[in-house]
This record gives sequence, structure tokens and C-alpha cells, in this order.
Amino acid sequence: MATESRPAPGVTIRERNVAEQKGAPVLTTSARSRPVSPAAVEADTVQVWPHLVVIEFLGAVVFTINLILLSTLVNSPLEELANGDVTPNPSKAPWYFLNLQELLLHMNSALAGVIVPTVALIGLAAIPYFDKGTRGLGVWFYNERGRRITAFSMIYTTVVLGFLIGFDVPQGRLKDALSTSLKKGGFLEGVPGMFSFLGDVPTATGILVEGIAGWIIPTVIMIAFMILLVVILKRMFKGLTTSELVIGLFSAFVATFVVLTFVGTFMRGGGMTLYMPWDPRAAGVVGH
Amino acid sequence: MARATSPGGTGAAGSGGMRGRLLRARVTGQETLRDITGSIIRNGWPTSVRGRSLAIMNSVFLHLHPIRTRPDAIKMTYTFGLGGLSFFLFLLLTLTGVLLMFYYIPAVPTAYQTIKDIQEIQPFGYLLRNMHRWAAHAMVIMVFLHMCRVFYTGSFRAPRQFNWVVGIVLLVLTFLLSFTGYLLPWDQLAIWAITVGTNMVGSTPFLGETIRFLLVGDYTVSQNALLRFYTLHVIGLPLLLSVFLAVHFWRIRKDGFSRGLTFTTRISDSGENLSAGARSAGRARE
Repeated sequence: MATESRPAPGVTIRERNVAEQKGAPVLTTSARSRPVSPAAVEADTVQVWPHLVVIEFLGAVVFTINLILLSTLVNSPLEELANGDVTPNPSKAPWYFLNLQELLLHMNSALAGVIVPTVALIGLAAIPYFDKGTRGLGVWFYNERGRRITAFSMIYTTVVLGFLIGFDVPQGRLKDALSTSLKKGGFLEGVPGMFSFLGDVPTATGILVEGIAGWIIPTVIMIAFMILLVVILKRMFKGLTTSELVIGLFSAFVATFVVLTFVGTFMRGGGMTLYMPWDPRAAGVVGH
Repeated sequence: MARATSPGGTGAAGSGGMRGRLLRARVTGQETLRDITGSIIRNGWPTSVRGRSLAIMNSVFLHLHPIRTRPDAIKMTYTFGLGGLSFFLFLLLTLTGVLLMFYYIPAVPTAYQTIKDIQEIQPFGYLLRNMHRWAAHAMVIMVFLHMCRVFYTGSFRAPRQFNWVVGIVLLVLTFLLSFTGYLLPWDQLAIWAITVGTNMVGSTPFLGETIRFLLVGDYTVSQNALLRFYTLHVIGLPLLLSVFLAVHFWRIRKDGFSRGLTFTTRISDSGENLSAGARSAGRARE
């Protein structure tokens, strides 16, 4: 990946944000850098009118034509009048929230609906404050390694999510198992008694079940698989930089969003039972 | 130029009489038309480099752009125009939304029927509503893809960190706009999707029930929710989005586009600028 950024002897390169790509022109210092001569600027640039403006105009026109065509051919859904007494089954959120609804099926609602998305959004917003790298600006995936990291992270996430979702079929399996084992006759029968500060035995059992199956286990699983991803990435890619690690984690987030939305849209039918996408009982594209 | 000539006659000098008056009127008419159009479009159709620069600089709609840009910055395969498309979709949604507003009534007895009327009875109402709906879904997708593009090209790093944060805020606002709009048809799909969504919000620790009640305005999704969601969807969130969009665009120009206008300067140890003038022969590329 040799680039023209390697300085010749006697030449100082005052630049940041060097793109590493074969043959690509070396790119950009920040906008606040020292000015260059107008001649140099003119030689390497083109007028926005017409070059950019024409692209924008054509893009807008093509997109609008396609949108009009789609709108004449496919109608937006309109079901029966809203009726508070009749709950459809399944009852799905809009498609961009189906990923959260999928999470809801596997953990406590506060965790799935509020804490995980908030943490995800804060994590997203904080990315630039972690990734202080300078390489690869202006180049997709930064370089060849970035490409491989993205691909690997996405595949890893898909496999792990498939396993986790498939393991939790039917939903609440873990909860039921825990619940029966904590009750009379189960092998953890004595445990609620140890937590008598929570209340009497049925209350303590309820709190324990919800706490363990709804909070502790899901949180541990999520964190564990993220740490596992980090460990595997560090092993597979020698000298992993923070930038590359962030690429891996972001790719995992994108894959999670896509996979969960897909499962929620195409694989959840009545009662939120899991079906294969080709199974007609899966509710299909509900929620559009 | 009053001139006493016989009416209808052609004067010997050719500038008198009816013909002369018609000729002069035509010239004055042309001048007036030029005055009018010239006061709107001040520099004529851009052909020269100067004219093209002025076309950008003097236009309130276009002056967001820089005057010149690098060719590889505007390659479709770099950005795929996702940010621009998202903004265009927002404008399209605003236009179709305003047109829909003429017929939609946000009250429980009438909301569903007005939507049905738009879809089935109003001429081209179905087109308007469908465009609005599909553009809404497209905008959510485009905004998400735009975020991915910005991330994978490293265009969020210093000095652009804050713009990334503004972008995340815009992402959330886009989701919220789509969510509030989802309720407005007041059909089974709408009301139960919003019930599911607001129940998720309601499970926030400590403040959940308060926030849910603030959003929904009642114990169940009913008239209050419809009005609140309508107001948010139609003016509250679009205003907020516009403000953040303004900041977003401002920062893009100020921080420089990621494949932007500034260059690597190679300075030799003796202080000579090795980049300047090397390719400056000839006139500016148009």
C-alpha cells in the first residue's frame, strides 16, 4: 500500500489525513490549513456550475420520476378504522422500530426499548471522540484491511444474532425454565428463600426471574459477544488500530440493525412466533 | 419623442408615424422585459467562468455550494448523493405534506375518512398520498445509508466531530417524524403501531410513565395523541429538523467537504513550496 505520501529526502510533508490507496491523489488537509496559490486551486478544481449542479438536478429528476412511477403502481396501506377494542395479531411497530420490538421479545422492556437504544445512540454520537485516527479520509473503508474488518464483523454479527434468536424460540423459554426451577419442585427451590429481603417467596421468585432472565443474562450476553468480537478482531488483524476497531463495532451495529429489522419484518407472525421467511404464516411486510 | 406627423402615414425619415411608434414601442417593450427579468436574474445565463461563479454566489438557493470543487469530490461513487437525496426527499415530503394538509382533518371522527377520500376520491389524491408515504420510507433509508457512508469514509473525524453528532440528532428526528406521521391515517395499523411504540417509551426507568403521558396525552392513544402527533409531525419536528439541517450544512461548508477543496502542501526543507505553480499553466478549468 505504498502511496505518494512517502516523503522524498529533503522534503517535509505538512499534512494530515493522508489517504492510503494505490494511485489515488493524496488528499486534504483540514479546511483551516494554510492557503495555496489560486493557480494551484484552479488547476485542480472545476466549477460547481455546471458540474455539481447538473448531477444534483439529474439525481433529483430521476428520483422523482421513479417515485411517481412507484406511487402510481403501489398503494400505501390503509386498513380498517382504528378500533381500541380489537388488537391485531401480530401488532407490529413501524419497520424501523421492528428491531427494537425484536429485542423486546428477549429481554426486559426497559432494557430493550430504552436503555439499549439510548446507549447505542450515545455510542454512535461518541464515535468521533474515540476514533482520532487520520488515515483513510475520503476513501471507502479506508483500505483493504478496513474492507475485511467490515465484512468479518458483519458476518460475525449475523451468525451470533441468528444463534441467539434461534436459541430463544419460543420466546420466554429461558424465563419459563428459570421460573419452574425456582418454584416448588424445581432444582433451585431454596433460592427465593435466600432472598427474603425482596419479600415473600412468590414476590422474590418473580423479581428473581425478571431480574435474571430479563436483565442480567441479556446484558451479559450482549456485552460478552461484543467483547468476543473485539478479541477476535485483535487476534485476526495484527496491530489493530482504534480506527479499525471502531469500524468493526460500527459494522456490527449496522448488521444488528439490518438483521433485527429483517427478522421482525419477515419472520414474526401471530403471537410473534418465529417463522421462516418463506413460511406464509410469517406476517410479511406488515408495518409499512 | 412626440412628433407631429399625420396619423397612419409613413414619414420620409422612417421614424415618424405609426410604424415609427410601433418600432419604438417594441424597443421599449423589450427593454422593459429585460429590466424585469434582469432584476430577478442579474447576470444572465452563465457561460464564462465569472458568470458561473456568480450564478452560485448570487443565488440564495445555490450559494450553499462552493464556487469550485474537486472532480473526485463530486464522483457519484463516493457519496452516491445520499445526503443530497435525503434533503431533497425532505423538501418533497414537505411539498406533498402541505398539499395533503388541505384535505386531512386531525380529529378522531374524521381523520380516517379524509384519508380515504384523499386515496379514493380526490383527483390524484392517491398519487399525493403514495408519494408522501414512499418518500417517507425512502428518507429513513437514505438517512441511514448516508450515516454509513459518512462513517466508512472517515468523514466524521476532527474537525467534523460535531457535525457527526448533529447528524445523529437529525437521524433521530427523521425517525420521530416518520413515527408521528404513522399515526395520522388513524387505521388499525397506525393506532396499534403507535401503542407499541409509546409503550416502549413508557418503560423508561423513573420517568417512563410521565414521558408516555406527555406524548400520548391520555391513558390510551386517542384524540389527544392524534392532535399532538399531528402538530409535531406538521410543524414542531420539521422546524426543529430545519434548524439542525442549517447547522449541518453550515458545518459542512466551514469544515470543508471530506474530499474537499484544500490540498496537501509539500514544502521543501528550504521553504520552497513545491506544490504551487506546478500545474498552473493555461486558463482555469471550467
